[in-house]
Amino acid sequence: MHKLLLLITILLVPHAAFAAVISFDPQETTVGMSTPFLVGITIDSDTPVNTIRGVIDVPESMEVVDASDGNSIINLWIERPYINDARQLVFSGIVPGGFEGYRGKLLTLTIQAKREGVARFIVNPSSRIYKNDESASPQPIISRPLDLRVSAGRDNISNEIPDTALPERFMPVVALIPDGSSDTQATSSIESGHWAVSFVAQDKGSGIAGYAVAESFSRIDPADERKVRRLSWRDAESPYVLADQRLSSYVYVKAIDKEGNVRIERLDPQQPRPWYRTALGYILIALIALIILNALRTRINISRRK
Amino acid sequence: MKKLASLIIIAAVLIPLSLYANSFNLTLTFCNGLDCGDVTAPSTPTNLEAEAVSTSQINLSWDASIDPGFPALGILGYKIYRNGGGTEVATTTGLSYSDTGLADGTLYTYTVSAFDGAYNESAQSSSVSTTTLSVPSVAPNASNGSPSGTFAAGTTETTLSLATDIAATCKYGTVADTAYAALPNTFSTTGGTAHSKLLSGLANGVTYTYYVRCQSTTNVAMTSDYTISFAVASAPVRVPGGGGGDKDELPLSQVNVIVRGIAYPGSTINLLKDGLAVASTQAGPDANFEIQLSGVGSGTFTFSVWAMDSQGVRSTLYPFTVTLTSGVTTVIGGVFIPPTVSLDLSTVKRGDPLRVLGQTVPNATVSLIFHSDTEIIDQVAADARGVWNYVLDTLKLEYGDHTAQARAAKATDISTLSKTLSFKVGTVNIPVKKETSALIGDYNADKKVDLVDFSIMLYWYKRPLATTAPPVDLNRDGKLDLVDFSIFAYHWTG
Repeated sequence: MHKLLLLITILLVPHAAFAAVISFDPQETTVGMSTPFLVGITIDSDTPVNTIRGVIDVPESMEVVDASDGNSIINLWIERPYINDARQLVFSGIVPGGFEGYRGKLLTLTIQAKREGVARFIVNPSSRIYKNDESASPQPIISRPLDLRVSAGRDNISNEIPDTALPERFMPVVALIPDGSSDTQATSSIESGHWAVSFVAQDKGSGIAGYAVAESFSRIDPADERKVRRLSWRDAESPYVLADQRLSSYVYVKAIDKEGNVRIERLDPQQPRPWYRTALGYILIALIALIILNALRTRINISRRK
Repeated sequence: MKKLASLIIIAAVLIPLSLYANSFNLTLTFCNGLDCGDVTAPSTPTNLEAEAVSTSQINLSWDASIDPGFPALGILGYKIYRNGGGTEVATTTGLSYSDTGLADGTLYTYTVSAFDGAYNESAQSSSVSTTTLSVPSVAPNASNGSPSGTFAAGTTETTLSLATDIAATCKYGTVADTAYAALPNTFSTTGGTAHSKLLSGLANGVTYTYYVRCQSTTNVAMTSDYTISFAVASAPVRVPGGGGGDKDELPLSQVNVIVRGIAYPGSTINLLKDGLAVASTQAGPDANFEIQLSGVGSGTFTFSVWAMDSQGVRSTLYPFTVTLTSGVTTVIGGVFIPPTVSLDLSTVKRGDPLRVLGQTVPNATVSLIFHSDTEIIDQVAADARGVWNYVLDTLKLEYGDHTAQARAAKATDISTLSKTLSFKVGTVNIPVKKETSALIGDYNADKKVDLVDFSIMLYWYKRPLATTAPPVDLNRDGKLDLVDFSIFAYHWTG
């Protein structure tokens, strides 16, 4: 029985000839409590890898104030970084084409120490990395825990690097998201679903804080701050299902970085309203109707006088 | 009456079960999720071996442990301990580990323990000791000097870089045969095995030659020069090749990135920035291409390039991650896109020929690798159009599943491996289905695998997969998970 178990184990456990290394990159290994400090999380991989799910055990004495994706090698997030109920920082995303190299940044954590002592960050073994191959082979992970010594009287290095740059320009796309209510296989015509806007922006400074979407019949210059403020913005994640499923509205997508810098991209309506369904059209039709009515009334009055 | 019936049923199940358990000396434990009552530690890892491979690195390997616990949650990983410390220096899911950053000529002792899904940890293995290699008293050897070739006119900065086989400090100058101590300039990044220095103030029409010498940490210096030479063109370059042949160069003040490389003659080259398509061009008849991208800011970017050959077959993505500085033109050269590869049969009758064909750089040598029980490696020459054609004698292969890959070599340049193609050796011949609609991951059938398709996957992620959902479950295991996202990312076109 044991021989069988051993055989199964040997067959199932991949030999770690090649591996990805997840490392912590702290500013300092002894930190203070008066201000937050930064810890980078990086990856080294000698084989191209394209999908990463990180699970970081956060010690009780530490609080993750922020997780920035600025300069991250992860281009598309499946799960943006969040803290789960087990005090674990969780994130996942993909790198189209794969990443192979040394010290590729995954995230930059801003951390506040809550009490003195030694705190240990661990890459939880439930983290996963997959190779950039057609069968998504799992890549073994090697990690080293990070031990930080917290000393109350110590001053942390100032992290106030101003980020005044806007997020990079990006290209939102409006497309039908099949919702499974009919046959929507890629090989057949897409007949059903919701029209949604898909977007992703990069911010190489402080990282993307979030997105907002507005729909409007009005064409507004994204640089016109006063008019932009008047739009009805809604916090959004990609894909965002559009309220106007007729696609006759302008769609505005706003990417906001963690310093509050904003980049707005505008998409023209795919099905512009005919002129008579615009505000100007309604006014013109009303005016014409009034003129015709007035003319009719005048003619009636004239014929009555006769 | 109902209560009595329930009690009888429970007793009927539990009593035989407990008797069965006692006969095997098992302990029955009630489970609750992962805390499933497995309190049995895994077996101790065996055959721990340590090998010093450098002055700062020791490689460890060991045999797998087993998890005899009930329920057996499996071995989750291994902890590596150094010099009898009570705290692990690392954890890994594999059966080997490279401990780096060690002091040279120093004795290190290691033990390893295994832990299972319930975090039970085994006893530590027998210890092994080894000593890192001593710092050699030989001079460093330099290699991989960069840049080379000719930059576009207007390039004002580049990074001088090289590597050494051992840790060293490198200096450079412009006079040949200058002793290390007399060289006037030291690389800004040096002391390890990678050395670099940003050069600015470059001028058009000038050839720059630098003579480099390095000295090891034991103060043994190179006695001959390592030369790095490059030039900046004296006139604006034009985008080479068919489609781009008449295109004037962008004003240099706007250019941030220039990507140069080789693909296939006349092929379409697509450039992705952080996964999104941003530019394309056409390679010239010599397969060379150049793409200029302007308006890119500062920061770390992941670029990828892929090409489509004359038969409409796509290459794999060729990715590279670079850090850009605003206002500085960064030239990325030496991109060698792997060959396209296709097969004429998906199943080949054993003994019949299997044709493997594709396109690469004109007159390149294509190495073919057939992954089988016995790996077969062979070579074929591409013609003047870069087209290559190889016939495999399938008598060399056993019945079953096999894969094929290719890579190309021209002069001293070697491409990365092509995409992997699977085929079967059987008793009949089955032709490969022509790719009509079937780009894997193209859920909205727009002939691209891009952000919209990713959004469709996100929409379905953590939602129950309806039978009429798009085919997002790419490995067909009944769920949409990270494996499907990884397969999707492999097929990404942007």
